[in-house]
Amino acid sequence: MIPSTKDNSQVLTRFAAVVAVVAVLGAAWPVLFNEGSATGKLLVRAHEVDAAGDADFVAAMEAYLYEGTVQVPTSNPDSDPVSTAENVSQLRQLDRGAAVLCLLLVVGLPFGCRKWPKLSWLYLCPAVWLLVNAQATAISGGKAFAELAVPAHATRWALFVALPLLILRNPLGDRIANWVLRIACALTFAVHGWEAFQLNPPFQDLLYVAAGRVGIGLSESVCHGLLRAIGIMDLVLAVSVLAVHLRSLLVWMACWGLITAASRPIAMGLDAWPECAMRLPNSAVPLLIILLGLHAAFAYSVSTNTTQQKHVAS
Amino acid sequence: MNSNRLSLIVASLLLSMIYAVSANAVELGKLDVKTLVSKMTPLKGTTPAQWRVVWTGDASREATISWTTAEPGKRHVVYYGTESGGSEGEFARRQKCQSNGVYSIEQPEPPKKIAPAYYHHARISNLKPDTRYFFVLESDGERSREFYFRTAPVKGTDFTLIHGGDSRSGHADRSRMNLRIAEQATSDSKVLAFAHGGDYIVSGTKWEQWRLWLSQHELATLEDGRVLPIIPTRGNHDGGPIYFEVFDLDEKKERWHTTTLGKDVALVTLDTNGSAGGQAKWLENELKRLRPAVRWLLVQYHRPMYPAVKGPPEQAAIFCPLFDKYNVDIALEADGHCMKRTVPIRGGKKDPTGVVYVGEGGLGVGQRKPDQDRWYLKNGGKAGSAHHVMRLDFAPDDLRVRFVLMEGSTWDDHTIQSRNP
Repeated sequence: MIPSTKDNSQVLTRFAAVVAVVAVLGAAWPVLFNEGSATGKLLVRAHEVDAAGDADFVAAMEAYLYEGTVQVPTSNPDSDPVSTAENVSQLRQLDRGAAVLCLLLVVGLPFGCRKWPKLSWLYLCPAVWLLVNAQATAISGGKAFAELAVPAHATRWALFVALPLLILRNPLGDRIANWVLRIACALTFAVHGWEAFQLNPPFQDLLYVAAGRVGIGLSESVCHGLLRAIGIMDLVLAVSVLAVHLRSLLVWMACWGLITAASRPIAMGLDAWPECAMRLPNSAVPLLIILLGLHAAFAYSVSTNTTQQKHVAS
Repeated sequence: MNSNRLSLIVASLLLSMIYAVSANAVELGKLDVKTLVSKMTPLKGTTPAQWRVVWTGDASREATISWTTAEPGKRHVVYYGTESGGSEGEFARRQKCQSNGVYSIEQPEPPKKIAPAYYHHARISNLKPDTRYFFVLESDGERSREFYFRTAPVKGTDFTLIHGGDSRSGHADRSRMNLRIAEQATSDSKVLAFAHGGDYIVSGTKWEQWRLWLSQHELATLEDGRVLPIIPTRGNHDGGPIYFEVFDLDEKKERWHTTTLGKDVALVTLDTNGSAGGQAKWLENELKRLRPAVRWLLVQYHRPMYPAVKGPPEQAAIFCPLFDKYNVDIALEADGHCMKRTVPIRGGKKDPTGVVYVGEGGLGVGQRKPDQDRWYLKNGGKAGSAHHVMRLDFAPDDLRVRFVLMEGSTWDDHTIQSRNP
């Protein structure tokens, strides 16, 4: 029996829209209630350094201490703390504003797109927001593998790149969305696989704590062995999602994405739920590929049959 | 006669007030770069610069004296003894540097080029506790001025530790805080050492950032040559090999360590960049060994377990139960760029017998606004934002913890009772 194109499509887009809301909520939560987004923190830091007149101060010090020259700073490092605090506060407000805007978009667009499907291009706003934050993380550093943040977060931002294509319904768009999601999935799994193989410390701790919760005390060698095996698995999955369309593999990727996302609140308590929410695309994207893979294949064969029937009739 | 006596009394009072004010007054308002750099040593030739004394073991009897030169040199020696000899004088002992090498420098894109620099570490031991050791650094015949540091007492708690973290960005404020640390030690000879909670710079692989930190660290040396030994922690921005080269630590074996300040005080330093699980066994053994033996058991690490700004780390589920089990007295934290003192916590809940967590880094980095609504910062806890250091004044029965701000005032003054009176 040929599945209904419309039903499948609705399931696909509704599922993607719900995941989008949860993912943005998870990403926005620390911006609204904790220390801000990676971009916000980077901008604040740059502003504070600039406002403090540090560049001149540093240049003068370096000239004297390391270059054997004397450089008179053009200004003394004597920033106005009140003005700096006000500007920092404004930057933080902007940061929060961007997060709120993305949240409003992902909540409102599913309704708006029913009437005006072209509004779905606004999903690119949260895509850009997430991509910029990933890049800011890469620039700021301060944690292991920070420089790989953009590909590591690929499923998160690519979901929003694919969403307009999924909503605007055409075979070419479906195929592009299919590949966007597959490449994003491959990048995320590959980077995480590499990090696991390199024994990323937070991954080790997640294993230790998860094992501890079920009463298993992991030794360091066992933990490392497990993590390397997980790393290899992730790398294989990353390659497979590009090479084949195997439903069982994609289901496993979805399950694994969910397990790793859920491991955060399991290890760190329920307060860490945003860490789970923002990682939900790791699980959702393989499921979308399954739905889309069938649909894209079906849409292609329907259009081919229709063309052949027209040809025979003529 | 009476009026003369009265005048004398008034004059004495006035003079002592002026002295008291000037002892606390540090010219931090408008930092004059020229004056500052005059207190710092240019990195040139084999002139010893960027000196530091490092403690990561038995602070009563050992220390590592380190410095930097701009050229490799051939002979690097530290002369030291319990008697002052002056810059050109004789000292009872000498130690040739056991470790010399070039800092790992990532060159930027041309045409910018960073000159190489060389580290030298002299590990001295068999020191007498609670004793001033004068020392002079020498590289290829070029000598530094005379410095001194005091070893920890073999027992007793009559000293003060200063703790701070996150120098990172904000060089002017960092210089101010270094001057504040020196002022704290000048005005109180009980100040023994300085524990740094990590994040010395922004990017740990950049030597150009480290060299500035090291040069600015010279500002924490007192006018009379007193150097506060530093007990280092590695922060999340201190990745790469330079941290280990600066503090003469083995990258594989010394990412976490215990410093004993005599028999009564121990500071266990952890590495929150590494896996907590990997350190758990070592930590448990250390805490198990130390708790019954010491009066004050402290832990320090970079990323906070009960943060005031960020989210909780994965390590909390592993470290905190151990802190609870072995009744750690206080945990010194950084990373958050704010000030906080939690309520005593045990088992993830407020408990008067629990561990107090303080922090979170104010040695120069821009400060963040803490989330005051977190349960551990309310009803007995406290949080704020300002550049600061923490003073820990040890005594037999209690530990006084004060947050000293950049301008010298006190933000919080809290006392913890001893578990092992």
